Amino acid sequence: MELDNIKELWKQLNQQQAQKDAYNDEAIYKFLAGESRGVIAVIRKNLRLEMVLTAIIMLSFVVLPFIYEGELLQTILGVWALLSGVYMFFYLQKYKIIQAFDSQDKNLKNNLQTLVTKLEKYTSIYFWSNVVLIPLVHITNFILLRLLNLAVFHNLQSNRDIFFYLIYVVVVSAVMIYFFYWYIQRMYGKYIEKLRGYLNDLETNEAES
Amino acid sequence: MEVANTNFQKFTIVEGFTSESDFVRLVNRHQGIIHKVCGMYCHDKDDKKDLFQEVVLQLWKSFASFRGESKVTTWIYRVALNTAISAFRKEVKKPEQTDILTMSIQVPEDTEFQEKNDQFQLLYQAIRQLSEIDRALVMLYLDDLPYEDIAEMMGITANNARVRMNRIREKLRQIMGRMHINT
Repeated sequence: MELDNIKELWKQLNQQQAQKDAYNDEAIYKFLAGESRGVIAVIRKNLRLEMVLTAIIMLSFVVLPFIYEGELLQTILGVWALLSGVYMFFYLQKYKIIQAFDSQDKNLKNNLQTLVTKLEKYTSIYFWSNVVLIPLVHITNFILLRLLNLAVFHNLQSNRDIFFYLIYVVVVSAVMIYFFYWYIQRMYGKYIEKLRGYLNDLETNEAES
Repeated sequence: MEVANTNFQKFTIVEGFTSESDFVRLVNRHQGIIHKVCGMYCHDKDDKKDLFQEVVLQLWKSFASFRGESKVTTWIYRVALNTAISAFRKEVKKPEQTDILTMSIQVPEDTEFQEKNDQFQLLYQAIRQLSEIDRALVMLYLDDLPYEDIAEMMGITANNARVRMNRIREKLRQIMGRMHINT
């Protein structure tokens, strides 16, 4: 049986199916009131939540020095506020990328190209921000803790101790960065690969014909 | 302000925003297209319902900016296909039988028709084994859309759409051959 011979049957069966599954106006209004579960909508929602949390933390670091006095404490909170600001900067970068993808009404090829580009940029910023931030946070905290002269770091005076601490920072950072790499791949890697596959399919056949 | 954004009807746009009731009426009228796309890409009823909702939400998102450069049906196909193909989907090892496969045209004692119907069901199973992109092409082709419209929706040339359809026909013959069916 050839495709051309079944067009009529295809129409009839789909009409039957559509009548059977038809939604009324009320059901369509309900759909409209629901939340999108598309990948971009989910990322956007998570980013908003993370940005709000970061803003609250940053704000508390800015406000607390006005409540509690002490130069050292104010310095520490100030540095943490700056660190939160760096986190916020990366969140805003990611959010800007996701916001730019806002509709699915382009043709399939353009839509896939845009989606792949945006997701690649998003995951790239996600990964590299962690590569920068994880060691930065560790080293900053080390310096702050030395300033505080806490008991645990009391003896961290010699170059040898500092060397070991730096080894610790490198190992912990490597493990955490690997974790983020694994997490990003698990969350988006396969999906981006799948979209790239569709795009290649469209582009390869275009080149061949 | 009234803007003619389809070859069939007009929508009222108030201060650049199109009314929700116009949109709901439009979806209601053309929901057959969305059902067709959902049936082609989903494996069960829940998936179909979720995808239907997602398509409706995506249509709504682009509704205000839809200015009728293309037919309203073309716009619905485009958004529905983009949403279905780019959706995060659970991996399904063994696809369930879709609704359309359980249906048949009720023409009693018409054996020729019944035979045709049976063959259609097998061909439909073969179509579902094609890649997502090829399935979209087959669906648009079966809906009798001109190659120019298919090309516009897919973002390829009309010539490429023709070449691909020829290859798909060959693929379907092979798949059905493997299913021990003479094409």
